[in-house]
Amino acid sequence: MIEVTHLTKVYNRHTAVSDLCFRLEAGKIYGLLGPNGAGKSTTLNLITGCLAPTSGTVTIDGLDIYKDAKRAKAKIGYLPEIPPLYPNMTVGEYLRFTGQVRRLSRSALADRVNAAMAQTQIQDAERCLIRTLSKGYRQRIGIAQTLIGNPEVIILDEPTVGLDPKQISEIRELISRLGGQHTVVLSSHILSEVQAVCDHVLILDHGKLRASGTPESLEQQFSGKPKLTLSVRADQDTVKRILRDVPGIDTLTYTPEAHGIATVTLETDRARNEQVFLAFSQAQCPILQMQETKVSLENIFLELTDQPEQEGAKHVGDL
Amino acid sequence: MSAIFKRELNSYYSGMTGYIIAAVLLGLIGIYTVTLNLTYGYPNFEYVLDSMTLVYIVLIPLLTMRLIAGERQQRTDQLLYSLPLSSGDVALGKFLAAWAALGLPLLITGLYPLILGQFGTVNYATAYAGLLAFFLMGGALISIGLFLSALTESQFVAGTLCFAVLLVNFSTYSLSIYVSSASYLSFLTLMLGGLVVAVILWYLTKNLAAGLTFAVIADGTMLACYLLSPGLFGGIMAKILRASCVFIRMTGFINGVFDLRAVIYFLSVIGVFLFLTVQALEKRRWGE
Repeated sequence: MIEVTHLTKVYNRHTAVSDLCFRLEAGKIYGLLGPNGAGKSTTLNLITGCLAPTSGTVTIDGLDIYKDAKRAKAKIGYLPEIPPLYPNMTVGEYLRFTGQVRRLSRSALADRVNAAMAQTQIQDAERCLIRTLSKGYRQRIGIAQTLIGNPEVIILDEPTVGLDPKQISEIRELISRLGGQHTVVLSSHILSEVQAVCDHVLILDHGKLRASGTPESLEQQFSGKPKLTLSVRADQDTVKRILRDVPGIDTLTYTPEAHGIATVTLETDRARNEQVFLAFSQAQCPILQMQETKVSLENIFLELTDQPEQEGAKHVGDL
Repeated sequence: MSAIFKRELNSYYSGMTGYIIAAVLLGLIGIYTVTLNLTYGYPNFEYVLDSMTLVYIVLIPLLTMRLIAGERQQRTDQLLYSLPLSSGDVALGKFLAAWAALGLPLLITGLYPLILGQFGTVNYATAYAGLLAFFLMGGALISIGLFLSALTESQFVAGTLCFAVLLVNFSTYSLSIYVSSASYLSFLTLMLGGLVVAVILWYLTKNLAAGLTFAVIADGTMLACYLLSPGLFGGIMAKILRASCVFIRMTGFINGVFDLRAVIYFLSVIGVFLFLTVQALEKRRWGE
């Protein structure tokens, strides 16, 4: 549906986006994840044709966004980071205006405006001036605007910024509903948001694609051996002595806590967990807590975005 | 384009701007009509319009300052860039809306010669030709204001810039009398002018090669002409100043002549400044 090839954007001497390449399939929800300043908004502006690239191409359903701009843009609905709303228009007037630009017929326009308002639950505000409405409403009007032409692709730049938790939850539900009917690309620096709604994650940093894949496949790729965390009442020598007899333990850290209790972290195969338990049991050393730690998307995100600039991306799964 | 036109035209009348423009135009044209036609008994409605040209210096900035600067200020330009619209559609839609907001009150003033005709002899041909020229001149000045609005994010800056440019343009004809006619001064000024245009071209297109090529061709041609025949440059600055004065083009119509050259002049100014507006919009898309 969307194909980005060697996309680069240079502002004066600052490279905002560098040699991006990826393909997005129809009907999925994609999350563009990255810290502030990673190049997410620039990438979305390039994909939607709001910005022209220094080099590279973007095609929407085979149509070049710059060479065949009108036809390609007809397939996209875009909500920038700041919803582009005219404060002196009513919600209905605004939505009808965007529909008229998309050359919808009079009857189709009325149907689409009603459908978009119903999808985003803003029917009650149809006759209200946009300047009188709350941030949550404005965000939903912005999303409704993207739905007017019933485009195949919907691109949302940080759609939940500045909203309260209830509004965030409502917008996430709405985005989840949009997946399947549309290809949704959503940018965010909030991991839980991406994890909650996206089928596929692209991690961006310093304008480069660091990794891409489903949240599960990324976790699998970056997890390595599972980590086992134990809370035990024993000193460091005792722990070492007990675990000496258990094979396949790669790394071991010992962190003393209060009241003679220590946290022990070790990397081992999952199959060895029982052996570790029994070893402590036979040594009559009580285990107060035992937990297998999975590598979360957050760890992957931090690991990738903490690194200095590097070449290449880690692709997981079929992109 | 028609959606942009409708939205812009509506926005003039959803706020105060459209009504203020109409009130000022109708009020002042009414006062001048009463004074010149009724009190002094002139049968020429075009004299009223001649007195009104100065009002454009204030009205045109009011009409154009928010057209594109306002979109940038409230970040709605991103909507226009992402919708299936070309920069040409945006520029043309906005220009036509502003021109229509000027034309609507002028339509009402079109009744004035008919009303005056009830009380005496009115030369309808010169009156309506004058009204057409007044409207076309308004269009030319709107296109300049639109372009200036595309250069900045601030409506205030756009309005002030437009006011200053129109004021200077209004004065260029009078200033041309005081300009030296010495060939070498005209030559140096034109060379400098060529460089300034090249820099503007470079700024708008972000293409250094385009700017340099223009500078070399323009200044090179002028240098060659000056070396071959310095006399060519005698008094040329005064001619250029007179030629660049949009306001003076009304003179023919005021004197009862349907000046086709002026009509072509106004339409050319509209074409050039719409083109420059599109370039300014595209420059923004290139994010420079």
